[in-house]
Amino acid sequence: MHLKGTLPLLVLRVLGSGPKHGYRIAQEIKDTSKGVLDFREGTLYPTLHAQENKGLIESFEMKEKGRTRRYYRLTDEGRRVLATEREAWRRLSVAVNTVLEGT
Amino acid sequence: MMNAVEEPRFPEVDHWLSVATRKLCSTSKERIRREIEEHYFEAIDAAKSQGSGEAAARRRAIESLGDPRSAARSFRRHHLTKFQAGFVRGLGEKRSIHRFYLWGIVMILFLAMNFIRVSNVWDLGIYLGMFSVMLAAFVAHFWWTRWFYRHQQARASLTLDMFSTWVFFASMQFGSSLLWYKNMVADAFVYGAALLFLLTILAVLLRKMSDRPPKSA
Repeated sequence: MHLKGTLPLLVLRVLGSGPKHGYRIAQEIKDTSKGVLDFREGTLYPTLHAQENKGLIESFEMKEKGRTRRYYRLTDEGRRVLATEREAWRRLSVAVNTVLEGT
Repeated sequence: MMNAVEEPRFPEVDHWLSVATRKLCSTSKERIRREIEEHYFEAIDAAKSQGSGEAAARRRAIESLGDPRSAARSFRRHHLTKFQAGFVRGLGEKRSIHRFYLWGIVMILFLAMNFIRVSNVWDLGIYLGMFSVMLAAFVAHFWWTRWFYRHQQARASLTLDMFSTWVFFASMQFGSSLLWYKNMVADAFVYGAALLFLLTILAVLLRKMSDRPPKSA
């Protein structure tokens, strides 16, 4: 399924449960949606960097099993935006469903 | 378990990265390379743990990254290109003296071009005012760029750096209209063309610089 425009929100939501590296974020979106939300993983990184530039998430490097991984976590601003965007998305989906089921 | 440092190069991911990071500045390239390679190795490990052979795992891992040209377009929206990075840095800290000379030459030319035409006190006042603005822009531009390098805090300093540059361009605009008013159409056209060119570059840069760059790369 095409994720245009929704990937930033999904990333924020996944990071809401704690710091994760890029691969883990991609897999969690796919696994949680049972494969419905599939996307090319190369597009995840521009999204992560854009959100980091906006101050919604921050990154740090950590050694794990001999590898240096870059982890991402939500900032306070990111948490605030996530709450706002989730509510906006909920209202939108309710409205769309109402229209779809009413016709 | 593979390691990005110990393992030999993987030509498929090298190729993917060379396309996806084309035109980006070296800092951005390096950061993206490390992240994508790590992602790639993780994907290979996952595929192998599901029973794929080495070749199949590598194929799946590279396919999962998608089209590198599409990624390149996205990366260029959020990272500075080589050209933009060079423009932001000006001539760079190591060659900052060249920047100093460049600004000096521009001001001297500007002054020479305009003071030659001074015919009354009113004109002198205008040109002195323009010179003061340019001098202030020069000092701010030079100072804040050095501050940026010292602290690596791009947002505030670059905003001010850009602001000082804009002040300089504003003085150019002022000069352009003045020349136009005096029927010096060719000079006004050159001013206007230079202004338009630089504003086009700055429009892109300002959009990127309005974001906060990563603290570490």
